[in-house]
Amino acid sequence: MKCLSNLALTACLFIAVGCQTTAIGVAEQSARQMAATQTVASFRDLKPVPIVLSNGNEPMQLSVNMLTDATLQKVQQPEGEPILATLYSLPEPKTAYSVRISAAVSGSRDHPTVYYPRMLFLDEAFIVTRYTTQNDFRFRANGANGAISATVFVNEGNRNERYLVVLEEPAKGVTEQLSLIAGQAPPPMVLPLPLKLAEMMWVVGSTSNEPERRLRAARAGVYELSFAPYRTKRLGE
Amino acid sequence: MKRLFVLILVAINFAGCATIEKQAFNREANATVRKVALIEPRPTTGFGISIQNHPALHLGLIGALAYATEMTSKSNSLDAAMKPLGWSLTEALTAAVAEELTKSGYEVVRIDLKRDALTLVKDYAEYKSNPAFAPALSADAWIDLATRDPLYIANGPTSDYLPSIGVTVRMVSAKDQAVLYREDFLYGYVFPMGRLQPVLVPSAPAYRFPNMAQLTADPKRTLDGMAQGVPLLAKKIAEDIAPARR
Repeated sequence: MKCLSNLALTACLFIAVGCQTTAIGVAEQSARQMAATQTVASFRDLKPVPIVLSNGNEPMQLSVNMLTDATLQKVQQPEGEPILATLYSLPEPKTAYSVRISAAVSGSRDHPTVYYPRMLFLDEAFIVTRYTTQNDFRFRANGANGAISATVFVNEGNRNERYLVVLEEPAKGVTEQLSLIAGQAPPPMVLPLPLKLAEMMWVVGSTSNEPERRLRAARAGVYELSFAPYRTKRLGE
Repeated sequence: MKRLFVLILVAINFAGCATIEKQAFNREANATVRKVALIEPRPTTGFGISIQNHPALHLGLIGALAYATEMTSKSNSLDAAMKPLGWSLTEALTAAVAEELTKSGYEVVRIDLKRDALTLVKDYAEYKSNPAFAPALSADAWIDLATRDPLYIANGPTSDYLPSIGVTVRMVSAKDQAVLYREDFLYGYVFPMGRLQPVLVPSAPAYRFPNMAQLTADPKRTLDGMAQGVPLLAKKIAEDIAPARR
């Protein structure tokens, strides 16, 4: 019995060490990317990533890891430090379409962070037509720690929009908020032992109370972007 | 027994949601939607208790029965303490959503179908001859609200109890029943729910109760923990489906 509880404790330690490494890794990678990337003067100077809806009407999804993407660039801001940004040239389908962005919470359980993106829509002259704010995002249960997401539609009235820039939401625009994982323990993990007792011990041990944690905005992270024609389905379809 | 059924249904709902499709509301494309019929959820039956990750659930059928008995007993105790306050989640939620939708610019009519199911309406055709549904026929869209009993949930036998409200919202066009919006919301306790990916609304840290004795000691405070979630949920729902600016 004592052996089993020692095993559980060892497993806890391994997991805790692993989480800490992850948190440090994100911060280090983010700082390295900030230092290594080229800085351009304006959005116009960013290299555009073309978005094409295949067959003219099929959804498209891409995942961007800002922590490792070597093609990433920084753009100079009127005030403050340059920030990481990606320019996308928007598709030109005949119908309205949606642009959805999501970013998963990462870091350790003690220091959960999320990359809070801002979507800027630009016209042909690179003039900003509209942009998202923190209010457009929703926190969702997704995976271990959750994710934030926002959906914007490009309709007939937005036909002048040619580009999308994804960049960091200005720090002053992000208010601190409760972590998604506040007050919750990780899901029970089954130890690789053929004993139900060991499983039970782990279950009980891993569901204790946890302190409230705050989710903080990170300067870089991983996000997913999807473009899909706007189609509604009828009930039963 | 009814309570137990509800708890099991909640579990099934959350487990079987892998195929549910979300639909964000495109307000510009649906700018003609100005009058909405808000279809009230089935009335909730009372407060419930759920303990996740319970060791008894690892002991087969006997464990499951023991778990069910314990949850039913705890749910009944909580419900008995809360009942005198006369609060109804269904009524509070419908009123709050109607108010927020009205503030956002919609003309709102409330429809009580007196339905039995906890889930969204599958086919409105069966209600078209129902006199209760008549006011909905003149609306541009129908907004269906579904919820289940308000629960206090602990993450394990030794964890604090947190409030939990689950709401599913769907807006369909009255003219062709096209789904204009569909979303799931969770207030308080967060279930690990795979692909359902509900929008999360955290409960205030002050409303964590370490045990059943604390949970039933001050019913007004226990109710506050739950009731505070209703306007927060209603605001998020109304923001999602706010009409286009004229």
